[in-house]
Amino acid sequence: MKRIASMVLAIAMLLTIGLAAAEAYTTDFDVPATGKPLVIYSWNDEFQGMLKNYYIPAVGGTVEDDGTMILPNGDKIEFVINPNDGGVYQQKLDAALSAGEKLDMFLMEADYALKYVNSDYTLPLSEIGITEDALKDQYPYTVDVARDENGAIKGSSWQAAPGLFLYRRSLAEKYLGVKTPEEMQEKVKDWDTFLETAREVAKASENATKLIPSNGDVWQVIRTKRESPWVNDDLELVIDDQVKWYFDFAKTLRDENLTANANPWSEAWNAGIGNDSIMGYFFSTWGIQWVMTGNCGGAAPGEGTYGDWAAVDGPQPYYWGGTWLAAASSCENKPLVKDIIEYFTIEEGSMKDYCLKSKDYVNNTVAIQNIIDAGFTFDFLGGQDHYSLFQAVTPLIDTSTMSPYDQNINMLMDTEVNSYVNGDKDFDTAIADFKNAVVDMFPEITAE
Amino acid sequence: MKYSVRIGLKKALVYTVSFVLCVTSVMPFLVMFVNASRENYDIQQGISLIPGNMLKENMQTLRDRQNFNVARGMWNSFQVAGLSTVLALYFSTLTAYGLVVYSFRLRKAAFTLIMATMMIPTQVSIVGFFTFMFRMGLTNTYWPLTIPAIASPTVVFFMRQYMLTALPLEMVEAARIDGSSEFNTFNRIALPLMKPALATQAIFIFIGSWNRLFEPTMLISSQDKYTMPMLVALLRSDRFRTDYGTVYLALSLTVLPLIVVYLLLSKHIIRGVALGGVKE
Amino acid sequence: MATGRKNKSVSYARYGYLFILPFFLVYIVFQAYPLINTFYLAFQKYMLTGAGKWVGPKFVGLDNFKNVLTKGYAIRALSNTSIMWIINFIPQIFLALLLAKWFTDTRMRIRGQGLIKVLVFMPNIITAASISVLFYSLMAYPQGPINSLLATLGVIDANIYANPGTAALVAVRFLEKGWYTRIAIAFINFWMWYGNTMIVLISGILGISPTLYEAAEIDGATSGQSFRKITIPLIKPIILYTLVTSLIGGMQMYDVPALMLQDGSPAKAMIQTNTMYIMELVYSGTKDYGRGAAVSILLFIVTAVLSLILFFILRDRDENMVKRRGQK
Repeated sequence: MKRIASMVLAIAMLLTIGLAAAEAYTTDFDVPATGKPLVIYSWNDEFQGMLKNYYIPAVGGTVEDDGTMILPNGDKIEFVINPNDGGVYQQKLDAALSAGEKLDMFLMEADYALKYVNSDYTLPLSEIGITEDALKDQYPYTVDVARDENGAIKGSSWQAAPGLFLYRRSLAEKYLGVKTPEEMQEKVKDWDTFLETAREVAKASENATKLIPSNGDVWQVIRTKRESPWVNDDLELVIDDQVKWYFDFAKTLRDENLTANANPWSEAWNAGIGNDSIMGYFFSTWGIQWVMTGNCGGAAPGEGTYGDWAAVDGPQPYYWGGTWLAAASSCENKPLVKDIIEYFTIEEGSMKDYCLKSKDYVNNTVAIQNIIDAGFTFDFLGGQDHYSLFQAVTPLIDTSTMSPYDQNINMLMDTEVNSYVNGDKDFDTAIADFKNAVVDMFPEITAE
Repeated sequence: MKYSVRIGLKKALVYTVSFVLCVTSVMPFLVMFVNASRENYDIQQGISLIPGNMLKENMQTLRDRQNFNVARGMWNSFQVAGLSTVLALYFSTLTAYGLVVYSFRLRKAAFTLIMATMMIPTQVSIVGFFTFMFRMGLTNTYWPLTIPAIASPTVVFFMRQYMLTALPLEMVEAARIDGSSEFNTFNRIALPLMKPALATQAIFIFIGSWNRLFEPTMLISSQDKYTMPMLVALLRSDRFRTDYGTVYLALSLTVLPLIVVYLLLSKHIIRGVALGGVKE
Repeated sequence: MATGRKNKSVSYARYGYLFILPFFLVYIVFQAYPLINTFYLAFQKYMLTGAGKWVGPKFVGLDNFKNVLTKGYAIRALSNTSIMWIINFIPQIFLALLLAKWFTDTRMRIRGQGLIKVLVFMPNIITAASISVLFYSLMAYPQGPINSLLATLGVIDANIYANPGTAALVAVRFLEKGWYTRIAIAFINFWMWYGNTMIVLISGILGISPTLYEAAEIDGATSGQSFRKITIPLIKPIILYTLVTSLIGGMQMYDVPALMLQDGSPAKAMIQTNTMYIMELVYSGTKDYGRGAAVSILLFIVTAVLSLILFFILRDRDENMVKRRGQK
């Protein structure tokens, strides 16, 4: 009862005071102490930051100088962070889980969530006190992804990850003559038009600006359009026609020099957000607040490229990534894990607070609708209401092409695409090598 | 051409080549240290030997990235390397003592066996070692990285060589006559005599263990237990791509202690290398 | 003394066994057993699949070996490892011999040898990982320090977005090209070890009796001839020792190539070494302990053959030394 009351109070506060509320959100905390630290595994410090900046202040905990988080009941929260490069996070997580390490909660990305959802390492949410009904306000696809073969829900996400195409308004006006997002959408409404626009941009700017950073950015979008996941139910590798299309598209981009050759997550890719070398990026929800705002070179309109961006649907709807919180089977503090999961993925009040302050796109249809209805604008995007765009894309998200093997198979494909695009191999050799590499890494998969 | 002129030219050549090689050996460190004090943008622009003025800022950024704790990594490496060194030194000397001082039937066979084991690098058995440690629940601890040091064939070999020349058997017998137990004789009399050998070997064992990457990567899974080289491997990951100054600073911090220790002990180290290679 | 010792050796023999016991105990548990275990696993199908399910252990005979040798990458790994070792070792031994010759030449009397030795040996004690990450950062594309340097020097087009077709040369994708990366790896190993090799060779040469050289000089031999006809034959065991130990170590090459491997780089096929392949089999994707063990055993066989050669070299020298001390 008390929690609902404080939630209503918080929402009322937000609605009356306005969306730029700097009020601290607070909620009750009645999790009993266990005397043991809560151990969370992740690959970066995003969730750690979320706990530190939102959850801890909200429940009345403290953060020490060295970053340790202490809850009101005296328990601590510990993070174990293993970066994602080369699939290392998965390796270390597997090692910890199978060795019975102390692990209460871990994060999983879309690329490998299915693996853990279908394993015994994740607890059904019902076992920590969260029913499926409690997840009713979440975007349905996020719930379906976390559903295992027996129908139990094994994870919960705080965000939905529909994707859009972000572009620089000033550069678009300069080189393409477009003045509004609608005009821009016309220029990128399908892949053929997109390619033409890429040529236009390169020519008009004399190679100083390119439409997208690299061919790798296209893969994130195109992979959702496949007919089949990488591995079907018979554990066979399926190379969809879209893959061939992608190989060719990537080669065209490289041969005609239409990209800035800035591979995703490289230094040039990060830097391109703050300089004029790259006009557009494909990003889903988390990309905008987690990657773009940090790299644009400013924090207010006018500084760096802040405020000069706009969002359009792009050539096709897609989703990219998404993170799910899972309770580990060795969890020793179920009430606390439940509380944290509820704070970020279920409760409208806390999620709305987080959403507005971080500009993430939270997994709560009600909260999002409220925010849009209250007249949402984002100054980073020149005052655009991109949430409406996201809201429209989300129902179109099709996660049927997800497989537990995605992260590793994508990496292996990337190697072959790079060879092919560099001109080191022809297509048939690249595909043959790709099949060989996949089977070597996953002997249980067959590839004809 | 006159003989002395020929020699002179040759010497000039030798000195020039030596100079170039010395510069080559030192240059990467200079680049590392200089870049540690430069700004990311400048570093991208090119290699320079002129230090920048961003050292403090880079240190600040590195500290704020809480998950890269250089001090912690060094302490972890110190624990592993330190314990390995102590165990290797003590037990290798003990084993060598057993082989030198006592005559027993299997002595020759034992020594041959130890020589043979010297030839098998540990990496080939890593898979069996890993699954074994996994079953014992010892992964992600330092025990698999340190206990095996008790059986260090190369150190035994070296200690035995040294002992054959440095330890007079008469001393052992004299100690027996005085009523000292065998174990006591070893600890009180033999061991101190081995000090120079112990010192030389200690350096090599410690540095060798400090620099290991393969075995720790196999066995350690939580970042707060990472050894120094494992942390260094993290520097290639995405979150450092926006600020290279911190990467070079972190590299410099990992390399600096080794350089300092080396410069202090270089004479011993080089003498040890020379001895090790020749076994005179 | 002799009779006294005879009595004592009978009563003290057990201490010999006792003192060497810890070594053998630890060795059996932590090294011998894992090796036997690895042999055992090599013949089993035993893995943790990418979907989280355990398979095996189930006896499959030579299947793992067949797989890694034909469809897998064991041969490729061995080839890569060997090639990178050769590119590193050949220049290394030549340079080390040359330097050793110069530094021990009594007619030249090169000074400052102490300082030179200290400096050229320093790379040997540095963590290979640190140096690899340094080079990895320097070779970044398109705007790593080396590429920028090339641009400043005019070797490549300063506009990093220039069309590769029309511009003379554009920024080099060092880490995506197999041969550039291989040479970088070989160079790092060379840089780390040539000082060590040089010092070992110098000590070996210093052990040769100077009278031999004096006699040769009287007979009118040049320093080159002395070196070739006297020095080299006499230090042959040392050169062999260096070669075999370097090769054994080279077969285990891990740190440098692993850290020079960029995600998604096509160079992987050309730089993945034996131990990198083992690590990948056991750690990435499906954790395949059976095939990882099979590759380990293949590596063991290669190393064992090399080690036997070394064993015989060392045993001869050791026997000579022991004879000299009358300990036998």
